[in-house]
Amino acid sequence: MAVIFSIPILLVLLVLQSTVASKVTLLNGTADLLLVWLAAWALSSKDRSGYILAGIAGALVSYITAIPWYIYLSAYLLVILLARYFSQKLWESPLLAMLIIIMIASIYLYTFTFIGLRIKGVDYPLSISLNQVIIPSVFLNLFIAIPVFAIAKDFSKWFYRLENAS
Amino acid sequence: MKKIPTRTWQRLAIALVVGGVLVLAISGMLGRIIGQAVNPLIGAQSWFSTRVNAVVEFFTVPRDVLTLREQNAALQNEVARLQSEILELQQQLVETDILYALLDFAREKPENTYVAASVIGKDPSPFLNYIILDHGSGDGVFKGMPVVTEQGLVGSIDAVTASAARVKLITDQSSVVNVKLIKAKTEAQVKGSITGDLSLEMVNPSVQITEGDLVFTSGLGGSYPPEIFIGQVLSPQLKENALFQTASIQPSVDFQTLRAVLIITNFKPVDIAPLIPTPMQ
Repeated sequence: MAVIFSIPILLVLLVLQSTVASKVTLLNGTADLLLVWLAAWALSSKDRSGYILAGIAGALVSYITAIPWYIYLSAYLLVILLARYFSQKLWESPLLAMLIIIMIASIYLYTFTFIGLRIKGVDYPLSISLNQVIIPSVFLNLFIAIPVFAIAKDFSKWFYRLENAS
Repeated sequence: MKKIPTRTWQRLAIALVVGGVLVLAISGMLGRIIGQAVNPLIGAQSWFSTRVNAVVEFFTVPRDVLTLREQNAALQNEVARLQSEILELQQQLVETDILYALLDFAREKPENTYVAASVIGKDPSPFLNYIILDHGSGDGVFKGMPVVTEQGLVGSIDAVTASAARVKLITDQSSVVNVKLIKAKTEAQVKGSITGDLSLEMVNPSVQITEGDLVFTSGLGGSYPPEIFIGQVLSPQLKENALFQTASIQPSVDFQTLRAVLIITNFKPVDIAPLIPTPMQ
């Protein structure tokens, strides 16, 4: 049920990601809406639907992007894994958990992308990648984490109320 | 003497009155007389009407305000609708201008066949400078086809689906284009970067590069057709003991505002990789 409800949201986020978010840049960094949404959803949800959603989101982004498919897929699965772990450890402060997850997952995503592209043969300079892309992107993800978390929490409340009622 | 009957007098009086009225009407006096007789009545009527209207308005004004508010809201809706229509038309005008410019470019180079496509997105990864187009293999678009605008070279098709295509921009870090400099009469390579800047590389140090020199594709390597404009040379640099000169390039295409492009569909890129000699083991 949660997966069915979340797929349209992921599709909308993917469209926003490739049209709006990719144009809102900080230096050359952009926010990853899907990554932030998955983290927020995994912290708010009560089931294990996050893993399936991470798989779907990874497949969707990999279909569009020229980045090797395993990078986004593994980063999104890592987000869910971290969220499940932190929701047990830091259950009294989900916002703190959200920020920690976003930071770790973003660093993983962009660093792994950098390594993946270098393995593919594209010579990205480390210092420029770090200063122009990785750090600004992590910062943007952290910046949108709190509002996205609030929206995801409200959505999950509404969704589970609806599920309990039916 | 015979007495004239009363009825006859009456008829005579009526005839005289009617005759008099007719004479007055024919002479034009009737209107003036009626006017003078009616004027006080009209004055009284106006006075009375003004007072009555004032009283009626006093009781009906609240209702009128409501009506006015409704009308105001309806008019505001209409204004909003018209404004959005104006914006839509302005948008269409901009798109028409772009298409006209592309059409002019296509007419200037009739040897090529083109497919016009709109830019519908950008690669989600901040590391890559790729765009997504709304035309794919169903429209005759295939991997490797060059993408241009009326301003110059944009990139080449990197991947296609039935209805969409991904374009690697020349500003991407992995992009290399073989070019020639018009004034310097030499060949070089234009490379992209992670920041989206273009740089001129592999230029012989003995060649003098001047600022403003025009950069066109050379056609070498078979990835792009020759004679497509790329940009102008900015700030050439020759470092001491360097093997090659470098320069930054001001691209002719504004990659931030790309909206529509042309795909050259009759150009088949040549894969020269098998011809490149590999070192003997």
